[in-house]
Amino acid sequence: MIDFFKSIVELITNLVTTISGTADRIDEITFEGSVFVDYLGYAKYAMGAPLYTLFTSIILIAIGVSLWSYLVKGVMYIRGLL
Amino acid sequence: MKKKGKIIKMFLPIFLSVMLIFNAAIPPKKTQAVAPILIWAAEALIAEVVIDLGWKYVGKPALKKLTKKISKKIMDNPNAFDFMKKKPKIDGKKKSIDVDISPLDRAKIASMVKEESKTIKAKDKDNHEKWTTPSYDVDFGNTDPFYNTGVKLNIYPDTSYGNLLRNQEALHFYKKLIHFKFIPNAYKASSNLELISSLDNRVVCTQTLSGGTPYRVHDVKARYLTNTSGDEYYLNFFSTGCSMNPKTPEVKVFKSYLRALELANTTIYLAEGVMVPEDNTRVYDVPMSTPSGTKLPNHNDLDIDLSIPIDIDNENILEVEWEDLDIYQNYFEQYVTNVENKGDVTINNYENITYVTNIYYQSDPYDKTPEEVCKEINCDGETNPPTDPEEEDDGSIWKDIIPIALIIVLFDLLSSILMYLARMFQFILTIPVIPEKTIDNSAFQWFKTAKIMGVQIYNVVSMLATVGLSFLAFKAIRKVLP
Repeated sequence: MIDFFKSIVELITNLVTTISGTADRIDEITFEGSVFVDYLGYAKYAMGAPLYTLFTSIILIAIGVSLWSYLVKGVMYIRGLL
Repeated sequence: MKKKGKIIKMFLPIFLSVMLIFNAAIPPKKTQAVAPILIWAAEALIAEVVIDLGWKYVGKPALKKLTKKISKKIMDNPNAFDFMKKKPKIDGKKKSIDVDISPLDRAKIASMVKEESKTIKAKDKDNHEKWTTPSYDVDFGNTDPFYNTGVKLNIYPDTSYGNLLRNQEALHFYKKLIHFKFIPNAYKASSNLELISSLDNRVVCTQTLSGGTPYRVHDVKARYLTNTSGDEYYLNFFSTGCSMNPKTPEVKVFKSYLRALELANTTIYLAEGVMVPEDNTRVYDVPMSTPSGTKLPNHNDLDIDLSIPIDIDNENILEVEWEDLDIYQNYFEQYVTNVENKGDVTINNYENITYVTNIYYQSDPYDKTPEEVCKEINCDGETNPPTDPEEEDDGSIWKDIIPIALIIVLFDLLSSILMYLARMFQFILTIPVIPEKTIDNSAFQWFKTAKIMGVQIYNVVSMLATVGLSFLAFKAIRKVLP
C-alpha cells in the first residue's frame, strides 16, 4: 500500500517537473529572427508584393474568421447554459 | 443556384469590360493600388463559374457514388457502429472494507498475546520445546464444533520460494506477512476431501466434511515465514476457512484473529492445530481433541501441492470482499472487546460454534505497551486514536504535494500559454510587413526575368497563383459570412 502511494507521489512529482519544464520552453519561444520569419521574407521576394499581400491577407482573414467563429460558438454555448 | 449562375454569367462580361476600361483609364501609378483588387475579384468570379460547373458535372456525381458505396457497406455490416453504444453498467454488490485497528488496540492485543504466550510456555514446557518460537493458543469457546470434524489445514514448505526470500527480502515480507482474502460463495465442495483451486490460482482450500452435503467454501490465504537455521527463511502458504455458510462466524473469527495479530506485528506460524517442526521439512497434523473424540485425517492423505506462484509486489494487507460487511464489522468490534477479556470470545447468536486456533508467536512484536501508546497519542480512555503512522504519512504526502506544487505549476503553465498566444498574435499582425529577403540563387533570378515569346514567365505564374488564392479566399468568405 505504501509503495502504491509512493509510486503515485513519484508520478505526480514527475508530472510537476514536466509541466514546469514545458512552461519554461514555451517562454523561450520567440518569433523575431526565427526561421519562420526568414522564410516569409523569402516568400515575399519570390511571390512579389501583390501576391504576398493577398497571401497574408488571406491568412489574417482566416485567423480572424476562425477566432470570430470560436467566439460565436462560445457565446452560444454560454447562452445555452443560461 | 441556377439564378445565381445566370446572374454571374450575365454580369461577368460586363464586369470584365468595366475593369479593363477602368484599368486603361486610370494612370498606372493609381492603378497599382486599385487594379490588383479588381483583378482578384474578377479572377474569383471566373473561378466561381468554373468551380460551379465542375461541381455540377463532376464533383456532385462523384460524391453521390461515394455515399452510395459507403451506405452499402454499412448496410452489409450492421454491427459496424456497435462500439459507439454505451455498455451497460454492472451493478455489483461487492464492497470492500479495510478494517483498521488503532495503535491502542494494537498495543492491547500485543500485550495480551505476550502475556498469554508466557503463561502457555510455563504450563507446557515439553510441548513448547518443540517450537522455535513461543506459542499462543486462543480458544474461542469449548463446545464441539462442526469444524473440528471437518476442517483441515495443510502446510507445505516450499524451498524454491524460500530461496527467493532470503535476507532482506525475507525481512521485508516478514513485516507484511499476512495476505488473505475471503471470497464468499466462490467455491463449492461437492464431496469429502475435495481440493478446490482458487480464483487466481493462489488459494487452495482443502475440505474434509463428515457429511456428503455440498458446502460453500471460504478461502483464506496467508503467508507465513519460518526461520529454521540462521538467515534461512521460507515462505509458505496455508489455507483454511471452509465453512457452511458465508455468514457463519467461523470465517470471521479467523479473519479477525489474523487481522488482530497482523496489526500486533506478530507472525502466524500455524493455525487450526497444524504444527511446523523445527527442521521444517515436514508438516504434521495435530488432531484436535473434540468431545466426540474425532480425529482429523492425516494431511498426507491429501497430495496437495501448494507451491503456487506468489505476487511478491502485492502488499495489500487485507482485502475483503464481503456481502455482509456490517456483520463483519460488528463482529470485529466484539472480538476486540472480548480479546481484552483474556481472549475468550463468545459470540452472540453463535454460541454453539467453537473455533480453535493455535497461533505461534514470533519475535518482532508490537513492542509498545498500551500506556506508551496513550502517552504518544494523548488518548482518553477508549477514544479511538489516530490511525497507523505509516498511513498518516501517506496522507501528509498527498496533502503537501498535490495541492500546492501541482496547482502552482499548472498556473505557471497556463500563464505561459497565454503569454505565448499573445506573442503569436502580435507576430501574426506583423506578417504582412515583414521585410523581403533577396534570394541569391541565379536560377531563380533567371526565372524572374525570363521571357518566352515576349511574355514574362514569372508574371504568368504569379497570375495563376493569384487566381487560385483569390478563389480560395472568396470561397471561404462566402462560406463563413451569411
